[in-house]
Amino acid sequence: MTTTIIQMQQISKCFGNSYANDSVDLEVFKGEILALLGENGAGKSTLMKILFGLYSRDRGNIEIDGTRMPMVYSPSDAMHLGIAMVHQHFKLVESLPVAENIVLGAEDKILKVTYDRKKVRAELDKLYEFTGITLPSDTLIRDLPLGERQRVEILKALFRGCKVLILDEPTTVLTPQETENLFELLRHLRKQGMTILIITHKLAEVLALSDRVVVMRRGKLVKTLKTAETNAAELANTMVGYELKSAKVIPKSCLGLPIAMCLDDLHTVQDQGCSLKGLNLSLFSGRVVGIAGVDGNGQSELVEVLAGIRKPTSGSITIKGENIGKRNDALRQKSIRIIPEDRHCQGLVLPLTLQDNLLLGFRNRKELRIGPVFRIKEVRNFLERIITDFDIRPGVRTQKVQLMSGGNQQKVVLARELSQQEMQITVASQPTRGLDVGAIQFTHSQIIGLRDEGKAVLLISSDLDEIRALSDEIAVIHNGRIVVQKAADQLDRLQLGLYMGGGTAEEEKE
Amino acid sequence: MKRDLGLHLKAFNLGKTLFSIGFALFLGAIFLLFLKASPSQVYGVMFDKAFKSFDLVLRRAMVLMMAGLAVAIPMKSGMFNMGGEGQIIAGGLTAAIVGGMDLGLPGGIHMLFALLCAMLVGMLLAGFSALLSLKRNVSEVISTIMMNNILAYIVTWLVMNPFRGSEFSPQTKKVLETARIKGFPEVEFSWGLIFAVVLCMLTWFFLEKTPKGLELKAAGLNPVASRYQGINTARMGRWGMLLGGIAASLGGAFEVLGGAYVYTDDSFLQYGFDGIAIAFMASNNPIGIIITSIFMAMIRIGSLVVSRKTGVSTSFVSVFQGLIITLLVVPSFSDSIFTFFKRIFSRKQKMGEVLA
Repeated sequence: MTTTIIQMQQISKCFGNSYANDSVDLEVFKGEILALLGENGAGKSTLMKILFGLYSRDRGNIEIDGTRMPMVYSPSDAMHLGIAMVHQHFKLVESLPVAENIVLGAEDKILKVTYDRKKVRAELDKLYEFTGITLPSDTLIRDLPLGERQRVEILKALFRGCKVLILDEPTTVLTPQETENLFELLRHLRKQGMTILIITHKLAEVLALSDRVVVMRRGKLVKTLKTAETNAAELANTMVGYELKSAKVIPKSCLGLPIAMCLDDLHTVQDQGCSLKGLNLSLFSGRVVGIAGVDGNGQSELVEVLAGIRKPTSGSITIKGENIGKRNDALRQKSIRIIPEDRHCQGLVLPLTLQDNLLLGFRNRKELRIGPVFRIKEVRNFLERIITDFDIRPGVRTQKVQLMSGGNQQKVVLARELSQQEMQITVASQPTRGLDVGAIQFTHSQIIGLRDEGKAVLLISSDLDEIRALSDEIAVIHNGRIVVQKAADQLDRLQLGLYMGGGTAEEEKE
Repeated sequence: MKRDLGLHLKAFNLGKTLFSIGFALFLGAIFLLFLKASPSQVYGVMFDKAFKSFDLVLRRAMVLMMAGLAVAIPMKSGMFNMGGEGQIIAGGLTAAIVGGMDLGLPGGIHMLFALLCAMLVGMLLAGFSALLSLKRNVSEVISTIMMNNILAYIVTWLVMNPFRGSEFSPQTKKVLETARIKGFPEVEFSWGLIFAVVLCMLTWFFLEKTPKGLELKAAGLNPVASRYQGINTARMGRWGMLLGGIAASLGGAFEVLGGAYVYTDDSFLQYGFDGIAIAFMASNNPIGIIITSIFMAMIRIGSLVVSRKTGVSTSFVSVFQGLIITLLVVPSFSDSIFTFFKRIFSRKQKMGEVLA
C-alpha cells in the first residue's frame, strides 16, 4: 500500500551564509496527507519550493514518481510530473471568471482554436463531480471570498492533472468555517488517491488533518512522526526545541507600576491580512512587553492601529485614563514612537537625505523652528548630536539614505524614534531583523535603557529568543487576539509554542 | 505610477538636462536635414531672435515659471496636475474681469484684489480635481486634463458674451490703470517677472527649509513611511494641488495685469503643457524651473520667426520640444549611454590584457 511517490535525499540550500535547508531527507507516500510543521524560517517553504522547481537545490537528489530530477528544473517540469503548488498568495486573474481561471494556461488540453464554452463546462462538471464541490463558474474572481479563491486554485491544479498537491500555509487567510470546508475537501481528495503536502505552523490543523508529520527547525528535519501516535505537546516541543540560549535580563519588579496604555477589545476591518478580533493588551511604565506569535497573526495590524494608520472598528485605547478610541491618528504625535518592521517601506523615505529623514521625527519641535520655518542652525546642531550619539555612518547630513548600509539605515530609524524623549510608549516591531550582531546588541541595549528610564516598551518579534531575552512580560498573539499575557518567567518555550500554534490551556495540561 | 515618476526625477541635474538638450538639438538637426533645411540657419535664426527680443522671452518666461510651479509642487506631494492650461486661462480671465471693473479701489489694492480673485479661482479648480481624486478615487490626471477642455469652452463663451469688451474681437475690456502691474521703461516685462522669480525661490525655501515642506516632500516620495510619521498624506496631496492651482492662475493673472492688459481668447495657447515640460526638465526643482522656463521661452519666441525666415513650419518647435522631453524622461537615458561607452571601453581593456 505504501508506494513512495517523492523521495528527497540530503537536500541542502544556502541563502547567503545561512542554510535554509540542511541535508533534509523526505519521503512521501502515495495517497497520504503529510504535514510540514515548523516555525517561521524553519525551511518548510524553501523545501517545497525546491520540490516544485521554483528554487534549485545546492546538493541532494530528488526523485518524483520514479523520475530522477536534474539539478535545475522548472515548475512546468514539476507540473508535468503531476506536482502542483497552491501558494499563500493566490495567483489568479481577478478580472476573469472562475471557469477561465481554471483552464487558463492549460487550455490546449481541451480547446483547439476558439474558446468553446460548452467543452469547458463539460470539463468543469467532471472536476466538480470528482471533488464533490461546486463553484459558480461565471463569477469573477474578484467577487469571490478568499476561501472560494483557494478552491479555484486547487481545482486549477487538479485540472492540470496533478497527483501531488502542495499547499503553503493554506489556512492563514481563511475563517474557521472555511478551514473546515478545506479540510473536508482535502480528505475527499485523499480518498480519490491524491497525495497532499501541507505546510503549516498550526498544531491543531496538523492533528486534525494529517497522516504523518514532518517537523522542521532551523533548516533541518528534526523528526518524522505518525499523527496518530503523537500529541500537541510533543509537537510543540519538537517544533521550538528545548535549548535556552540567551541570558535573561533581570526582570524588574512590576507590582504597583502604572499602566501606560491599555488596549481593550480592539477590532479592525478584515482585509488581506489578519484582522484584530478583540485584542486586549496592557503596557506598564518601566516594563517590556514582548509579543510572541507566528507572523501574520495580527502583529502588523496592531502596529498600524498604534501608528494611527488603521482605524479600529470598535474597542478602546486608553492612555493615562484618557480614552483615545478612534482618534488614534493623534497618538503618534503625542505619546507613541514606532520602530516599524519594514524600514524601507515604513520607516524611511529613501530618496530623501539623512537630515530630512531624521527631521521627520522632530519637525514639530518648538525649539527647532520659528513659526513655520526651521531654525537652520539649531536643526544642524541638534541633528549632529543625534548622529554622533547613535554613531550613524557616514554621518553626512546631505547623504541620501538609500545609499547607506542596512545597519545604518536601521540606526537612522532608531535614532529618530528613540531620541524623542517625551514619548512614554515605544513600539518596536522586528527591530533587529536583518542586522548584524553588533547592531543587534546596540538595539537591545537601547530597548533595555528605555525600560530603565521608566518608559513602556512593546516589543514585537518573530524571534522567540529575542522576546525571551528582553521581555518582562510576554503576550502571545494568535489570530488577532492576545491568547495569554503573563510574566516572562511563567512561560517556558513549550508553553509559548503551544499558544503560538493556537493551542489552548487544556492541551497544555495533557 | 505616481511614485515611479517621483523616483525617476531625482535632483535637478544640470549636466543631464544640458546633455538632453544638446542631443535633442542634434536629432532636431537630422530632422531638419530631412526637411531639406539647413540646421545651422534654422537654429541661427531661432536663437538670434530669442536673444534680440530677450525682454519678450522674459515676459513669456514669467508665465511659464508659474506654469512650471503648477506642475512641480503637486508632483512633489505625489499628485499630477495636468490642468495648468485651464487654470492659467481661468486665472487670466478672472484678473481681466476684476481688473476691468471700476471698484473704486486705489491703485495697488485693486491689483492685489484682482490677483487674489484669480488665486481663488485657480484654487477652486485644482481643489475640485484633488477632491475627486481623494474622495471618489478619480485619477487627477484624467480630471485635470478634462477640466482643461471644459474651461477652454466656458472661458471662450464668457469672453464672447457677458464680458466682451470689444465689438471687433473676442476680448475683455482693458484692465484699468489701478489694477495694472507696473512695468519697466522700454522693455516688455513687468514686475510680474520679479514676482514669479521670487515665488519660485519661496517655493524652494518652503520645500527645503520648513516643516510643512518636508511633510509635503515625504508624502510624495513614500506615503507609507510618511503615514507612519503621523503625516496626513491625503491632506498633503490636497495642499499640493491647491498650491499648484494658485501658481497657474497667478501666471495667467500676471500676464493679463502686467503685459497684455486685456484677455483675448487665444492669449495662453500651450502654456500649461509647456509647464509640464518645464517642470520635467527641472526635475521639479523650483530654482531649476527659473532656468528651464527661460530656455523654453527662448525656443518659443525664437520659433516665431523660423517659418517666416526659413520656410520651416513652426511645428518643428513642438518636435524639438518633444525630443528634449523624451530624452529626459526615458529613465536614466544619459546614464545608459555612459555605461554603454564604459562597457565598450572596459571590454577593449580586457581584450588588451588577454593579448598581452
